[in-house]
Amino acid sequence: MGLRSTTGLLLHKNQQQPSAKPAFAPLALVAMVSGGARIMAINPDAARSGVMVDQSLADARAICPVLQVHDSDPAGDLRDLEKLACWCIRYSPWVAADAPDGIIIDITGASHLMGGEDKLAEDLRHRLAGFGLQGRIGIAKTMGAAWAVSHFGAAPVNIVKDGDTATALAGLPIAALRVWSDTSDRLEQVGLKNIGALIGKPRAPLAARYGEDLILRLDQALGHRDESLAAIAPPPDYRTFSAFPEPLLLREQIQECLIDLATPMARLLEEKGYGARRFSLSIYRVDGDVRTLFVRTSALTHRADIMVRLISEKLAAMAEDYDPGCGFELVVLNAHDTEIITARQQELDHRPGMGERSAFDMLIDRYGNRLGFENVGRFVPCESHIPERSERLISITDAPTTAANWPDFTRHLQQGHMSGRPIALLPRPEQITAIAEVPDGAPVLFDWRRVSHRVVKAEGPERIAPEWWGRRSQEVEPTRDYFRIEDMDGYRFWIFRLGLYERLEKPSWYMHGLFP
Amino acid sequence: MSAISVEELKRRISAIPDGVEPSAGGSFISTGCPEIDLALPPPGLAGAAVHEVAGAGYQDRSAALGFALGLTARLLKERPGPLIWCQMRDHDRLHIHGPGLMAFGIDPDRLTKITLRRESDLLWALEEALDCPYVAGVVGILWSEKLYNFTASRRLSLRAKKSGVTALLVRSHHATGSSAAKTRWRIATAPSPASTQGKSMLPRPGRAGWRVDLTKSGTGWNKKWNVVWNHEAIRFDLASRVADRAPAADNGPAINNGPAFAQKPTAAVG
Repeated sequence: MGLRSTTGLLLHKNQQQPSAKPAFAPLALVAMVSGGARIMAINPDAARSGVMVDQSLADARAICPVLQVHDSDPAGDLRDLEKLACWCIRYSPWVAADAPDGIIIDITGASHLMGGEDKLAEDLRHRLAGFGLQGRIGIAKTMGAAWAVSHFGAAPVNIVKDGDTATALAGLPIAALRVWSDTSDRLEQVGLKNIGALIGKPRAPLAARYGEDLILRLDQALGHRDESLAAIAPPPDYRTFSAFPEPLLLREQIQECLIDLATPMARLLEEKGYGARRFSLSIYRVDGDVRTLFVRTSALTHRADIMVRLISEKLAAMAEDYDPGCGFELVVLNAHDTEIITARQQELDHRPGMGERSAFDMLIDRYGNRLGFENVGRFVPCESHIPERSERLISITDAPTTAANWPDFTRHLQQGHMSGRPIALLPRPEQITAIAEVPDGAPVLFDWRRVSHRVVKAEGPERIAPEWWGRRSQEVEPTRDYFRIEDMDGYRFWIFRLGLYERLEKPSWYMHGLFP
Repeated sequence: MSAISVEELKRRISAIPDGVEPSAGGSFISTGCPEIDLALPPPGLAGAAVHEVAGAGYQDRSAALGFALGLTARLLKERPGPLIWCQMRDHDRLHIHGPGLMAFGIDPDRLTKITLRRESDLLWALEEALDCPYVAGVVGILWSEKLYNFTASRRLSLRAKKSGVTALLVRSHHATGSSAAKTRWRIATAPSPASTQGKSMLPRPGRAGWRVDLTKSGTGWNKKWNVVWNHEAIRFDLASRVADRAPAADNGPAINNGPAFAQKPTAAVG
């Protein structure tokens, strides 16, 4: 993997308000637990007054009478943490939220875009301070080391150079390795207080006494074993972005940014011979709000005009209720699901003035993105005799690319009767009352939707037996006998009788489809 | 003086009324039945235009759909390219059945079905399809209409004229009022011509037949025919030309069919 830098970020939980108050204002967050109200978090003013976390509220009030109290909201805190993690995607797409108050970002290969690791850390701290948050940042080669220095390091920003990992970790307590607290307590009792004391010790006895977990965490921190990050949002395959030193205020400017980003993206994809099926545009507002638009295409594409057109339509739909606020400062275009594009053969029959197939693909994409791809479908024959299951409408993105064999299917289904099937089916067969003269014959009179019809012509029965092979015996439907009938006025219907006279007392009749 | 061909002159003249020049690929679609073709302005259904089909009554909606499918089959036979089918979600609780399309000679693979929730989306979808010359045609099922009026039909006609794509709209039987469509058809179900006796005691239904009324065409002729669909040749035929192939012995069993139900002998419809 080469160089891998990880930033671990620890946020002070109690900074829910902008820290602009110079006055002394101790604040604590409490939660109701079984013993009463307990302090969950405190701000520095409260800590200075002597309030401690996990005290009962009564004790805390006794120590500090002017203590202000708010309810703690762990679920809300977690949501806010995830939102902040999503915002951190501006630095690198590999971001994970580390509950309760940390964020891990893998900045491998991304730090040079900000001018280096220290510039990145400085930028991050500055922006977090703008949000009213105090962050502690640690950058190191491994996730474990970054976590350790950010949580337990001396300075607010700790950057560990390559090769210095062991030295940086040596002075930190064992708890910085992310082991269970009773493990670190037991190690402290026997005199192993720092990580440095563990490095170089024989591993087998440690593992036997204190568990494999200790050795695993040590190896992960030192880089002997790999640790992977579960990203909060699937990282894109390619991305282009433009950041603005002065925030932009107009919605129309987003459109221009889009065009400016689509061109290098198209070039990037084309050079490598890739095309993508999903694109997303993320707009970062100055106050930390991130809005993302997704578009899909049915065919792989690397053309800038297609990206721009599809995203512009979504943008226009969103623009009505999008408020740029104080301005937006970063726009990112991502390409997901990339694959190698194979050139498509031009079809042989062509009409003059027909244009290119790509225009048709674009039409389908526009339908899909506006209406939902599940509403754009193709007919596909299914292996079933039951008429309502014999063909499906499947979304165009799932449709097989080779043509289905409809003539064979029809021949097999209808014994070659090309006109044996109606053109339109009711989604569910509707019950009708029918009188048949002979038990297994066609009806001569029936009522459907309160209209009486007298039958003058009939064809059938076409027996469709239920599919007993897939189901249990109780669930198997009775046999259906289908008739194609025409009434006195010439209207033609497709009805069936459910069940055989020999088996059922009174079989019922249903209307299933209409003939033209 | 430069020589202008007659074709070029025709194109320029047809551009004068709306200022839109027809596309170079404009063609005409024959219905397969010479009598019908002759009643339509230039011989056949205009390729770059909007055509409307409506049923005569509520129960005739499947007949209207069938006639539209017949026109679609002719369209697909004469032109390459995919077909866009736009229908609102479950309207009237009827949806197109794939194998049924094969009876009209339509290959279901060429259809792309768009399901829409609102009528405004349906009109948008029709306009978008008419902008894409690659498409052979677009069919829209407009059974509930609140927004479709003369202006909308005019907009669709202009787009069709420009791109050369044919649009077929199936409207409800309530559809009256003017429209900018090139041709308008009114379809009523007709009893099918007799055919041979089936297994049951009633005669078999014959081929799908309709009473077709061309209520608007560019020529001003208002003609009616009895038409059947010929699914072997994939074309329309006039019913009077279809020979009545019922053998004479049929009348015997028909009479024995239970006196309570007096059945009219089903002779060919003229």
